[in-house]
Amino acid sequence: MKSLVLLILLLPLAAALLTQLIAPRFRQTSVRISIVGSVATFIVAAALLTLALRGEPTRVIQFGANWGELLFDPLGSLMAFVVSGISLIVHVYSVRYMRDEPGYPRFFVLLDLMTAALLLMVIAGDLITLLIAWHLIGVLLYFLLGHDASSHAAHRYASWTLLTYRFGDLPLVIAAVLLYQAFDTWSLQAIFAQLTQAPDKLTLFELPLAETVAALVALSAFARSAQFLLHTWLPYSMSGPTPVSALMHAGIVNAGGFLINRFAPLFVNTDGVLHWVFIVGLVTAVIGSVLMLAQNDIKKALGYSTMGQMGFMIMECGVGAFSLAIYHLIAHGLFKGTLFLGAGGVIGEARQDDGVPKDDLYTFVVEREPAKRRQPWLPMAIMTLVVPVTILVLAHWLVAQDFFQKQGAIVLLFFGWVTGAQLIFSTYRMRTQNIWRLMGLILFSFTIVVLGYAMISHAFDLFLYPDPVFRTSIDAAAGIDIIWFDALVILMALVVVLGWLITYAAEQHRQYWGAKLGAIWRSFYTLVAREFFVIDAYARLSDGLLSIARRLNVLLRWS
Amino acid sequence: MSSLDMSSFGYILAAIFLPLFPASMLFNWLFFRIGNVWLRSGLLLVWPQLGLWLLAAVTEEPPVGLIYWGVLTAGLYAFRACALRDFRLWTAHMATSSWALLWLAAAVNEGGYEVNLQAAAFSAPFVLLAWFIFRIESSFGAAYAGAVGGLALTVPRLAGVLVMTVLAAVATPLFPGFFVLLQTITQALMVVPGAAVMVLGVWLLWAWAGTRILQGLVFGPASSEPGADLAGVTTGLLGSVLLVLVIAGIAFAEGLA
Amino acid sequence: MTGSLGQKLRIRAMVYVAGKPVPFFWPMRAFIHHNPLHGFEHLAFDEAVATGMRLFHASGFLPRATYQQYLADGRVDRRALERDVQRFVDSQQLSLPTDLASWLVTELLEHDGQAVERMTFASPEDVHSALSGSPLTEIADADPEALGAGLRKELLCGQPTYEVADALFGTTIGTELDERVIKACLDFFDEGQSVWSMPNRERGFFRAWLDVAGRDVRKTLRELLRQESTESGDDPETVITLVLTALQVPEEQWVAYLTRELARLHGWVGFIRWRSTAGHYYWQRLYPGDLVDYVAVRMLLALTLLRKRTQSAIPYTVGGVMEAIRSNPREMYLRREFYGNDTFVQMAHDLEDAVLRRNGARIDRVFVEYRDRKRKFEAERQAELLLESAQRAGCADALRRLSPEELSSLLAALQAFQKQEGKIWLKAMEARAMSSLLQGLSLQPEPPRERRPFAKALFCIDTRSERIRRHLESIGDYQTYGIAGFFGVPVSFMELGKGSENHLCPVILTPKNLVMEMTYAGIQDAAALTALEKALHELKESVLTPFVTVEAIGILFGFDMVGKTLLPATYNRWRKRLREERPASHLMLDKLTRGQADSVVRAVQRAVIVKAVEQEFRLEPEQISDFMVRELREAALARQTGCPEFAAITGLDEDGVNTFIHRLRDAYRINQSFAQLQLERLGRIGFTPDEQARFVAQALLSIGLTNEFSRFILLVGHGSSSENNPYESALDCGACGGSHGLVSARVLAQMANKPEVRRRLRAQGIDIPDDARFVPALHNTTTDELRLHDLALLPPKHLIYLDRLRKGLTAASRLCAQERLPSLQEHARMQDPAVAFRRARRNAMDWSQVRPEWGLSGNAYFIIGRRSLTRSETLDGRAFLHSYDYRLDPNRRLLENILTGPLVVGQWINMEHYFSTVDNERFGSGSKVYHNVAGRFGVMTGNLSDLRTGLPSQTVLDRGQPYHQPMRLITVIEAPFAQAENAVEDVVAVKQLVRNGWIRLLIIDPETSTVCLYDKGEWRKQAFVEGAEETVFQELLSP
Repeated sequence: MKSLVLLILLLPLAAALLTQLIAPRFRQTSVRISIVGSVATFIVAAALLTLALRGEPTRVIQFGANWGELLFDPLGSLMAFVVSGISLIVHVYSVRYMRDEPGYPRFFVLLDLMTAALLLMVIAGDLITLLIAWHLIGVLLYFLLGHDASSHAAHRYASWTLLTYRFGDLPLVIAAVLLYQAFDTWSLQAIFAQLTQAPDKLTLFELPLAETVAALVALSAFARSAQFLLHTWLPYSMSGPTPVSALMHAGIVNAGGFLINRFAPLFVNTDGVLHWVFIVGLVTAVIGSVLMLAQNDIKKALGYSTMGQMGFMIMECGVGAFSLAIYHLIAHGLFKGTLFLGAGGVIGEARQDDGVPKDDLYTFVVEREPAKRRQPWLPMAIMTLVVPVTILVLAHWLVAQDFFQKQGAIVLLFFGWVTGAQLIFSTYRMRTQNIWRLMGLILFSFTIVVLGYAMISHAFDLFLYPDPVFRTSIDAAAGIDIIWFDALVILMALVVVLGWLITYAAEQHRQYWGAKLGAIWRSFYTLVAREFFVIDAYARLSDGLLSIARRLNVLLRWS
Repeated sequence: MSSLDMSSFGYILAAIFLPLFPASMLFNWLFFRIGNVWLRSGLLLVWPQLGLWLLAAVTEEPPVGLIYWGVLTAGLYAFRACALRDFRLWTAHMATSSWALLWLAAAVNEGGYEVNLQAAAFSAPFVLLAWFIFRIESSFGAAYAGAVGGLALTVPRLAGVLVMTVLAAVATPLFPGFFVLLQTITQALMVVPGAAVMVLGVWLLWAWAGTRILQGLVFGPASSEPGADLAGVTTGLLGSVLLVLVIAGIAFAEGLA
Repeated sequence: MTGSLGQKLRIRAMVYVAGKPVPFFWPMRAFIHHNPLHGFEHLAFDEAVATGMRLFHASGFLPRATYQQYLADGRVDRRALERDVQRFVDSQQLSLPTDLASWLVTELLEHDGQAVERMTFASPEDVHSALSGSPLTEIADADPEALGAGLRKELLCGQPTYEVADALFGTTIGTELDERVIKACLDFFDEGQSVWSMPNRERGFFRAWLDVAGRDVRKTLRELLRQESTESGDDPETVITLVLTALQVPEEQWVAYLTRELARLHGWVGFIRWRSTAGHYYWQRLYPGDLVDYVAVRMLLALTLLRKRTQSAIPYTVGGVMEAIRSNPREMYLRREFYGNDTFVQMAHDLEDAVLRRNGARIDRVFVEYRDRKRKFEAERQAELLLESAQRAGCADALRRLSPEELSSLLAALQAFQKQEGKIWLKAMEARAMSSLLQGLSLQPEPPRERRPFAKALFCIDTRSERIRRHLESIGDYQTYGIAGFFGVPVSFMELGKGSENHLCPVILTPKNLVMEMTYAGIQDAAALTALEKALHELKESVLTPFVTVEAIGILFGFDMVGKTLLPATYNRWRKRLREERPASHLMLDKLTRGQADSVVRAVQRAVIVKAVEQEFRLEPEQISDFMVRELREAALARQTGCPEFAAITGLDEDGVNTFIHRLRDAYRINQSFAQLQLERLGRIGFTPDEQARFVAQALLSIGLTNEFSRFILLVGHGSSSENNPYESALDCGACGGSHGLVSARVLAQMANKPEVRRRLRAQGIDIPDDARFVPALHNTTTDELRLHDLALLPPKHLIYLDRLRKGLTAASRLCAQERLPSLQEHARMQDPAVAFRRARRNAMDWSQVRPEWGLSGNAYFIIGRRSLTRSETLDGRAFLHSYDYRLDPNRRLLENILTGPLVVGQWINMEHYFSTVDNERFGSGSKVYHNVAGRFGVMTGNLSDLRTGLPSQTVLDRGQPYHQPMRLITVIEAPFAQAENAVEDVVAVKQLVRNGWIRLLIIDPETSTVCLYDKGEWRKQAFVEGAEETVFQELLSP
């Protein structure tokens, strides 16, 4: 088993080295070696995952004197499987996709090195290996995004990414050093063991150790997972090749969720940090979705949608559903990777349906339009509110009885409720003869999906955090006292109910609402079109700093 | 050498070689004027060692103010390097910035030859860069970002090794610079926390300076016809030097007990 | 001064003229191959390329190394090359001891670098002294006036002021302005890609943008209006005038200024130019936007950024720059050298120091030193280059003995030669291509046939049809013809369930007839999968719901990712079976009778009235009786006064009813004039029998098919199928406006099978036997499949022969795939047709395949003549073949139709491939790997860039080297010389193309078997000898 863990690291490195060595002479065959390497890595990762699933105990593999440990545990093996899986798909996709690009072998070398760095991060057992992997991923992503060596623009945007990542690495360095100073060891397992004995240890400036280190780790996760104000690099990383955008969802953009899960034993001893994580995640999710809806090109829209999804993942960690965050990370990785790899098909879809409404005169000649009988809107509105809640509650109750003690679960239930309501509302608006047949079909599929979703997320919970004591302590860390929670729940319920009633009413008499909202909507759109001026602010900041530096150089006569 | 009685005079001398702001202008002025590449590399290797030797001569602990002054100098020169386009000046400024951190390293380190090794770790990449400056100036006329651009297209092998060396200079992992900085911060965080955090700020500025110079020199449209690229042998040689650096880096890390 | 109508019209005229050089850009849903230099087709080819290169900063010819590679591959006629070089040397009238011609030829053949470089300071005398090793003569101090004049000429000749500020002060206003303008265009011209689009776009591009532009833009506009003390000026023309006067641009340079502005983003400008002229385009009717709006947006943003970024430290008006150049010309010169891209590298640091310090003494010192060292460096470098090239040519000592005057004339000659070089290589390459084509042609008449062929097939003239026609003819008793892909029938087609009409004809024609697709089964209910997908689509497109949605169904996308990448063929076939297949459809070709049209209009009006009553009065459907609706309709059409039934049910009094009737008349347009308009629109549907007969006759006559009609006459339209490919429409049929040709084939087949039409044709002398059936088919050029359609309409006795036909077609497809695949993939085991056929199908369904087929790359010839001319030659997919029989066309009408339509489309396709190959970054659209689809109609590169026009590098290049050999279209017409030449003279467009050298025209006269070539204004004739070897056409092609 020790050799398997080592093997999973050495395979991509060996593939990268071999590809680089024989690239000058055999351009095509060098790429085949890289494919073989990634297939082998995937097989080893699958073997590791099966071992972990079969209940192999967590084990530490020691290399260096006091650092250089690799860790075999459920979280590591699962993430290794995901990383090597998506990396294999990107490798096979790039064989034909990048065939005509200059630097074709160099691209595959970088892909292999990136896979190796991701695997190192995922199975790192001690803080220094984690720091090295964390730092290397940022540097390798800079060279992957800047693959087109002749374009200044690609490298200008790639340097945004590198600087945000470097800004994200620094708090992790401080956190690592603080932990080392407190427990005099770099190994994570040892630190967490000692931490459970002495949870309220103090550190620099008499701050509580767990709180400060957790805050630093969270800040580092924010920078990596493009939370608001540290997000500008993600939507503007589209100047790299398409496979790189897909690879980013294999553990580079969602490394924030992994980091928080890796430091779960640390977050358990904190009380305030997770609330901040929740707020930052929620703000990012909303802003990411809002900006996604206003983008006019497919790749930036996908970029902002990823920002929103990463915000939701961080919010799930903030709510205490750590394992759900990992599940979201994987589901979203596959989802967004597929959308990116197939992003060229938008023109094909536009040829099928180019958004031009049917001409009423000619349509009349060809199709006898069915008289669409509109259902009375009040019962439909009530059905929209009641049905999803019942399905959600039933499904979760079926899967895990103690579901409702966790406050986090209730918050996530709200999102499920809004989604179910929107699903029914959109079927209500669909033009069809027999609305009930379609409504039945949609509800049936909604139930299946919710049941499957609840079961999988529960299975993840059992797999990643086996002992229930630890699970309850996570929820405790994330919970807020009960009075505040109930007030929040009632407020949210009111907002949702009111919201849907207004939407249904607006659906009926459309013109009444249009005029009033016009002015507000225009100023809001100005803000959204300029992406909340964040990018311009950063551009002005960097230009200002550079001009100051230039003036300093002249003042000090270049020496 | 007997301990100098006037410790402040010793510090002024050390401030020239472990560059503190006004005194650091001497090294930069000197480095920019020297033409010979061997002299330059020698200068890069020896300069910090002299400073450390002088500092060792002054027995008692240097005042904390000097340490902060050192870190501030490092920040100033790293910040100025971001706006530089001449590769010779960039190398001089980055070298000054990394050596200024040695004040902190010397202060928190127990002593012995540890600091000298750290200084050598900082200087090694810059010696390689000096050789690159000579090579680019001889084949393209000057090593000036913007005017001489797109080396990745004209001389790909040279560009590849140059990129790795710049990464080594800005303390990217597995190169010794990374471990030296990590060790200094580990030892200094509890003692002079303010200085340790400022070192991180300097590290960020290094990353920015590194990307700026690479964008000017290596990436972008080719500014001239494809020139004479490195021979296979020299590339292999430089690659092995970098490999030695990596191994030295990992050896350094052992000291992180 | 502003605001007057005359002023506005003047601005609009200026913008129209300034926009002329930028070609149209059509949305990529229907990719139209077009000539990037279409705006310069009134000039000669090399003149147009020179102006195009200056305006778009592009290169019009390949680098010399590629031409040398072509020479090595034997694709360049060396003799023609040497003769053209000799002709160039004679034209220079040089009295030089050295043999310049042989020197230039050796230069062309051996050296791939430049022999002479642009010299800013050094003069030929300096080069001469550098050659002889003597020190440079001291020159007087350059007087500031001459320096200033030089700078003014270079910087202030109509260049936008922000370009001047960037060139002198190193600011990046130009790129920032382009990005802000591109964002504004994306927001306004978006066709449904973003869920939230720019509010109230109906008010036009400039006004809608002004509402949502930032505070800084509105502040600039307020200041502008206050300076000119005009009232509110939110109309684009006024803003343009105000900004141009604010920038102090002299009036006579306004047009040049606007042209330079528009040329910066030629993708967007081309799109907006096309969109503002496309009357039928839905989005233009909904959200109008034209070039004047675009220029106003751009000028206002430019002024805003200039004021913000320069903070009055940097002069940005033309007057300010003039003053700056006049006051310190030296500093300005140094600034231009430093921020330009041909800095003298050795002194770059001192230059930066002087420029940033800005104190006079240092600038003067640095200027003098810079000038001297640069002059010496340029002189030595030029001397060294000359010496090297002379040594290669073996006349080094002759060079040293040249006098300064002779040396300067030599340098001038070399400089002029560099400009001509590309043209000389091109002509030599075309000479070789023409000679290899002529050797393959044959004038032997077709041997008389005793039985009619088993089947005849009409293919599109597309170059890919040449291969499949050759294989079809080789495997059985088939005869093939070449006709324009739309079969000569311009049709506007409305697909079932779509709102927009698709014009199935070249863009130069506009169809007058509308054909609609109908099904027997009426509107199906949306199948389960599409309803779920629609619901999923809406869930993804709102603020709070995408999160749980992704979490719930994200894993399912894993199947897509793995399936589409690892086994694309099987996975995609399985997924297509999930989606409901399209119902069998029928095309409505015949005109509606007057009665039918009236009943349709009545039915529409009744439906509108029912909807109106339901909306206005909330009545239940059962309360609205037909009688009441008819009564309301009569009242609205003013054929009846009161509406008792309606008043009774709604309880309205007299004037309440009248107001509703008036609302019906104007809001719901139930009135006589609108009804008349609806009748006219219904009149467009279908064809009259006369029109049908005319189109069928025209099609048959133009290809010379008037007798021997075999049992099956296949009308083969062509299309393509590819996955994840924004350029899929470029692989479809160019003659059908970028969509597949099956609909046109079905239209013509249906017309030609009508007995009514056949009777009229028999009257005109074309007797089609009853058992001859026209069968539409689709040739999928990506997989080479040939599939027959509308088999339900075949009479039973034809079904007996059907499987023999199908076997023949499959055999032809496999042979064609076997020939085509090796050039696409290098695998060795392509010999076996079945493997090649399967690999071609896999390419069509693989989403990671950036090059499903080579498409039209490699097009070089356009041959108008009988199939017998080209039957014996293997043109391997490089020729457009249009069948034409000159004997059936005494008054040249058919030939003129071929020249106006298909030839012009062929020329556009050829020029698109030419310029996308020679400069893929500027004229083409770069690599597909970085493409990012924007607004559902265009493609950008990376995060934000101009709309990428032209073809991607994967279509025309193969790993950096050109796959498409860039040449002008070589046209061959098989007809008597007089008949062909008059036809060309009569068609003005084609005459201009031939005269200006955009097309190389060859006429083969079968009667006198002579070949005539049009070259440099006159015709050259030579006897046509069949199957001769290389040099026989030497005298014709390179005299």
